[in-house]
Amino acid sequence: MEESFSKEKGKCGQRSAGFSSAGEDMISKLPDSLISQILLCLSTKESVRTSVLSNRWKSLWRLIPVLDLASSELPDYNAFVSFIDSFLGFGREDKSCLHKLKLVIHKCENDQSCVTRWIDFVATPKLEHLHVDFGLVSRECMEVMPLSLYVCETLLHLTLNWVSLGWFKSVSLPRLKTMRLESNIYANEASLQLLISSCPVLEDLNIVRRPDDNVKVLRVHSQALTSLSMRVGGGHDDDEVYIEDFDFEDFAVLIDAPRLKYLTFDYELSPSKVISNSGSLTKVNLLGCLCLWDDLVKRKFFTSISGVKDMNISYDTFEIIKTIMPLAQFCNLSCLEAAVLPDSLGSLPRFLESFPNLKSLILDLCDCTLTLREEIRLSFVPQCLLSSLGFVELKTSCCGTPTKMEVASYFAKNAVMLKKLVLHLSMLEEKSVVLRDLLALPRRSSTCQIIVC
Amino acid sequence: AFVENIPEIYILSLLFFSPHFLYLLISVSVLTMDPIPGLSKLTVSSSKKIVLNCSDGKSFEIDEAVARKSKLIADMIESGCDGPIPLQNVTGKTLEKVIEYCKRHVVEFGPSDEDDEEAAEKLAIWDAEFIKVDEETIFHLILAANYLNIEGLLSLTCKTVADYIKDKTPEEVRQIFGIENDYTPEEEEAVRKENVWAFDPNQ
Repeated sequence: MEESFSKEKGKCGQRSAGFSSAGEDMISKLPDSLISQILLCLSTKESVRTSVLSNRWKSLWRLIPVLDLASSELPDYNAFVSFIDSFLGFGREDKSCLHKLKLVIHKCENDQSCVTRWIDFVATPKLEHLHVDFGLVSRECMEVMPLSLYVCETLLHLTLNWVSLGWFKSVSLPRLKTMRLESNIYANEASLQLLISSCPVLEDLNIVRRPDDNVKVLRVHSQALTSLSMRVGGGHDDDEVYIEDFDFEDFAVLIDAPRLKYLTFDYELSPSKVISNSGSLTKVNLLGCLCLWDDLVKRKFFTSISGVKDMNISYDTFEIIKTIMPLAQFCNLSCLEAAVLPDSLGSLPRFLESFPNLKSLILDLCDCTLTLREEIRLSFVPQCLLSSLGFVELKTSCCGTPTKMEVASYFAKNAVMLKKLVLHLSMLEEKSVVLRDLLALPRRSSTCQIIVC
Repeated sequence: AFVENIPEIYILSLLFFSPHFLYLLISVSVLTMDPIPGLSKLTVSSSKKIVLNCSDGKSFEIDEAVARKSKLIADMIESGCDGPIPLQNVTGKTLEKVIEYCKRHVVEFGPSDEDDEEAAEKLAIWDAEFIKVDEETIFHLILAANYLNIEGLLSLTCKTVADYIKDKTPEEVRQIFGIENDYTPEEEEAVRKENVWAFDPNQ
């Protein structure tokens, strides 16, 4: 009797909600390599926690070839350093087997600098993913990256944030596919250019620059690059670098990447942007301030991107385009997203003339003042409304209702091929009333569906 | 004399080599310019069937493209394995599920980027439904995916198991998986002390 009682008790203890119905410990029976695969999906902290599950699990977490840790996860910087030293030092071989090292480090001026010895140790023919992020750190405290980093032959993904890339002579990163550089300091323009152009299979580059990074003219020359994103961020508060005060006059970005498909400028403040060999460009995002002042530069820039299929522009970019209208013809463009200030709406029809094959248009009518403006009359009908425009979405979060109605009715009345018109309303507006008014409008396209949300 | 003998030699050699000659003919007509080693590929049908035999006697016939999702099987095909492939480490029930996965993942992506994104989303939804199985099946799938070397399936199954460990206390994890705690209280205390920071819920 006692036997059966304890058996039952054991079973009840083992049964739980969700997973282990059989009560058998199948996971611990897996070979080390497979448990390691499972632990790879967890953060380092969670994997370390598994050490307490049972004797079997005591050191399994040490087998994982990934170290992903933020110094904030440990009580202090010294504990962080000793953990990493012990993790990297572990192992029967002297060489590191790490595939991925990701460290987010917050340290003070007085804390010892260890990143160099860690990178030197892991930059072996096994490392595929390196991510070093110092968070916000002032310029003087920026750590210089060791040379072993630039010759790590197996590296596929590199992220360096808030560090100093010193002077290096040779770069050998034959497998690097993606690179993300944020708010770093470079030795000079040539070294950043060398880093980018020396990576023969680099596909994805994301650069966030700070104005005082020793680079004025950035040349992005890359044979394999397909995706490029650039913006200018800020510096640390202590550095007293304020973008508003900085003089960007001599700054320039020169891009020569024949395979480039996707380009994003998001607050890229160089007044000179030149793109050569832009034949492969498919999608361009021009967000934030485009900062082009000279008319010739503007025209050349927009001509160089005139082959794209998809474009997203901020209202600042729209204002810039207004100054050089008529814009070059974007014959391949089928999707456009544009933010437009209410005062500039009058230029919208002529603007759309540059996109004769436009199929889908998303308009962001931004106006947060909610003041009543003069009525806008949109009368000119561009080619795309007559032949191709099938979808229009009006995002009008802060806009006044009369303006919205005018724009919506402009499209409803004139777009021959329109299939769907979507109008976003604010909380204050009465959906049913607006919908009724819209449906009452004469519609050029008989198959047009109007959606109000 | 040499010239007169050639026709006989030619006929003799034709007879001698005829099966291979036929294969060659078919291959030339169907698969022009394709330098394929191994006769098993020189058949007219483009969707060749592969037979897989499980440990419990069950047999499955599937398209070659589906079978090739397994690197183990693909290598066997490359090295000329022609007949049914024996898989001693996989039962019929598990293999059925594996084949279901491979069939779905053989689908090619469309030409444009939008198609790719949509197709990837749909695939992810399918994967999420596919992996809603009991514990025993998941572990058998992990072992099978590892043995058959099917990267996507191994990733999916390991991630699913990892999700049961994520954000849980060790006590909860033990309960979920039925892991017996064989530490003495002193041993457990020592392990916790070694990496105190990992067990601190506030960090």
